Parts: sequence; structure tokens; C-alpha cells
Amino acid sequence: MALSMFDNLEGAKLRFGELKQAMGPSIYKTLGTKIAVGSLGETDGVWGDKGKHGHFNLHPSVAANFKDKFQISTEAL
Amino acid sequence: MIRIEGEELAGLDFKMTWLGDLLMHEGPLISLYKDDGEKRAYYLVKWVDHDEQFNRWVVVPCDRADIVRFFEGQTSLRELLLKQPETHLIDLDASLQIAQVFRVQTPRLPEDFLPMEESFYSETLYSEFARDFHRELSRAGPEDEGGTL
Repeated sequence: MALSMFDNLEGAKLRFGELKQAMGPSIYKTLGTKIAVGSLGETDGVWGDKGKHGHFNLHPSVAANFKDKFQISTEAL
Repeated sequence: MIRIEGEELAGLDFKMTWLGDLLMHEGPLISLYKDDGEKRAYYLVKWVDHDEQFNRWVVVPCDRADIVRFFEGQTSLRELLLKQPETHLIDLDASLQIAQVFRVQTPRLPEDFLPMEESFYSETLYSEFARDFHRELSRAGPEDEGGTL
């Protein structure tokens, strides 16, 4: 399964706002309520073209370890 | 999971076939199914809840005109859902088998399960399948009684 990523924080917040409109409040049970911020390197996986709000799908490599590279943002969705 | 008020059934009393996923985010969130028996009858199947064992989905019956109105921005997903007197909730296990089915009076659905007021179709939010299906419906036209849509 691909992971949803964004190249900017504002884009992530806009996308989650749109998803909340379509899905209702329960969407946060699967999306969570916070954004994690970090930098991706070439060994972290492969990703496709960026779409609306800077969204792209990341197919992580086996060796990818996002726990060490990403930090939870204090900003709520 | 959020507590629901509904009648537990032995299974669904209709059969449906998956046509495509309308909204995706790391997996399907809203999918479109076609009724196996009744021509021009559809089901929107929308994710609503989960726990460690199951994912819960609401199955919303709708006809072709409902789908067209939604794609044309004349009705929101919330309005489309709430106009149905009753819906079904299905719990799918990890192997996508139906574990439980409930019949629910739509007004008794938890508010958390319902789309928001501004839940209108947007080509940029919904999937390529949604865009293609919308165009297919538009090409077929409203009088396409003999067609497959």
C-alpha cells in the first residue's frame, strides 16, 4: 500500500479538510489528527508525480525507517 | 466502534458488484457498486468506522438519477445519503469477508458517519474512475434506458 505524502504542510491540511467534508468526522479515526513532518531521501522508496495540494504517493522501500526521520507536528489537522 | 442502533441481519438481501473506487486515500474510502438484479440501481459504499477487527461501511442505495445529480453538483453526498429511509452497515474483516450486517434507519446513523454539509463532488478530490464514470453517464444521457449504465 502507498503512503500519502505532501510536499507542504498547508497542502496536507487542505486535503484533510476536503476529506473531512466528504467523509464526516469519523475520518480522523483512520487518518489521525496530526501531521508528521520530515525529509525523504532516495533510499526511502519511490514516489509518483505530485497532484493537487502537493500530494504524492510514496511506495516505501523495505529499509525505510520513518520513525527516525519524521516528527509529529504540533499543528492539528 | 461507535455504538449504532440497528437490526442485525443474517446477511445482505441483495447482491452487488464492485464497479470502482470513487474516493481513495491510502485505500478506498467510497466505492460504487451495481445491483446484480435491478438494472440502473447502484450502491455507494462509504467507510465509516473501524476497530481492531473490522472496518465498518455504510451501504447506500441510489438510482442513476441520484448518481448524476451528485456528479453534477446538484446534491451533496450528505443529502444523497440522508434521502434514503434506510441503509445497511456492514463489518468487513481483514480478508474482506462480511462478518456482520445491520439494517439502520438512516436518521439514526451517528452524525460522525455522515458527510458534511459541503460534501459536493469535486473532480480534483475524487478518483479517475469517478471522473470517467461521470463522463460515461453524461455521454449516455438521461434517456439511455437500453444502455448498460
